[in-house]
Amino acid sequence: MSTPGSYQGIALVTPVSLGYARNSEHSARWYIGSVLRELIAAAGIDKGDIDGLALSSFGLAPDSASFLTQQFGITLRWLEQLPFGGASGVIALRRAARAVQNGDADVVACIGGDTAEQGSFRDLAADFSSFSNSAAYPYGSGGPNMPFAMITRAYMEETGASREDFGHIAVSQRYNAQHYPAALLGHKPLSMTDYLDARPIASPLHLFDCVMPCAGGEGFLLMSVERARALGLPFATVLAADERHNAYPEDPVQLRGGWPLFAEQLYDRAGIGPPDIDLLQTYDDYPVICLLQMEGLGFCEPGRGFEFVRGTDLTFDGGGLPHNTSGGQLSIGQAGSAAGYLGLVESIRQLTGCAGANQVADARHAMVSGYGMINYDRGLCSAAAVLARGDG
Amino acid sequence: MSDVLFDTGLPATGALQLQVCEQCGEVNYPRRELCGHCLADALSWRPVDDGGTVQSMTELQHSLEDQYAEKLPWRVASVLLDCGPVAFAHLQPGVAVNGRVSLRILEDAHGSPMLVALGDRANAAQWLKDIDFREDSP
Repeated sequence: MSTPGSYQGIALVTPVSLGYARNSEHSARWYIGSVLRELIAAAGIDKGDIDGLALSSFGLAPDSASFLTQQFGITLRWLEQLPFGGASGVIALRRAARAVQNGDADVVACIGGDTAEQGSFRDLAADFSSFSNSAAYPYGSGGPNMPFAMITRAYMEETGASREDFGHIAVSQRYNAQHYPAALLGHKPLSMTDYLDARPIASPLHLFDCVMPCAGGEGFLLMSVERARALGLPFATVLAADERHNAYPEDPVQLRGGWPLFAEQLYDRAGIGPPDIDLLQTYDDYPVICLLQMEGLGFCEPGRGFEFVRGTDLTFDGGGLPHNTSGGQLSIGQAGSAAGYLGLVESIRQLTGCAGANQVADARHAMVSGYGMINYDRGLCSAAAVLARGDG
Repeated sequence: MSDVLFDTGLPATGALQLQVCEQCGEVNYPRRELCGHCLADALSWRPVDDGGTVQSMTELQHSLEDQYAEKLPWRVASVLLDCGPVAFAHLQPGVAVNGRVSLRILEDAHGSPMLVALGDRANAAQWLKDIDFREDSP
């Protein structure tokens, strides 16, 4: 198999997160366009300088990426729509980096945005995919809670993990969210007792294992290091990135994602290993999936993630492995496809030293993991990127 | 209350039938148009081995549809069928993870054909009555 080439010379700048709300009267278009406006303002460039756009949204219909160029009055020479749910951000980064490296675009806006209104989550779950519509949703109509309850129970049976282990992830993230003002649940402290005593949703999942659907937008600009320097923008670089789709299809229950298929080579290309990672952002649609990412990305042995989190401080300032440093979806809320950009945007904030109260001290390297698209019984997309602080 | 007629695509009720590829023999589920193994346009619904092992299970305490919300908690299993595929199925009480089940296709109260996982055929009738599924003749 060939190996992905270097991402040298690529800069990630101007992390933007905006508009988080439990419900919103605005459309997904509003979220995407608003992120675009803030990206342009943060970079101090003209709208006409944006010549590439990578975007992800579950809620664009009847529009598509093409239609937004007219809505936003932008003329582009590179345009991608990336429907990869929680893996969208890392995959957008990979596609956009190649476009800039090869001269297909100079400045690419990478944006995830979605809205939320009463009933919209039910409508998305009830008509999510042809497999889900015929063979998952009819069985109790639990939405994503159903397949993830299956994965969580199977993981517990296989490894001996307890609810407290998952609770450690949720409680640590809530602490982080209390230092990130935009987190929708950041004002509510969460203790282990609160976690364990929460009402059951889909055994063994309880309330604080499940994300709260919400509206929000996330984005960043991708350009050459040269241009970032010329604009005077602090930036992060990409040491390595990879993705897999439908890995290990023979596993009867998803107890591993696609990460073990590329993790070793990812670190080889990055030139660093797990001990060098200063912060980890996993896709936390459910805590068990954080464990699969920690295991798959080499922070611990397969099936031992629950022991790893028992012995590791996951808060942003605890001196262990800062994990989901802005609170993750579990404490911020899950804004549809924006959730697939959340960890990436937060990592750029951290690596450029503009995170605010939840800043990780001396953050030099970040691992960002993506996971998405529950077609039926498992997430089909796995992606990860190793980022580094730019030299300014 | 609104009731949903789910489009499960399952054929006649009774013994388990799934899409079998006439070219390579692969048993396919969830339903699709081309064989997931050899991509042939040669799928036919055929009786298959209805035995399987429960890989995992959940008891739903929350549902997005009224017809389930009224009957919570609702039990669902993930079953690895002996003939190959993994299927979600409504689960009879009393079966644990790694327990053996047999699958049948039965109609719910609104006429949707569904997969039902039975661990104890002798006592299935009362449970099916409880959850408002139409029992067929064994």
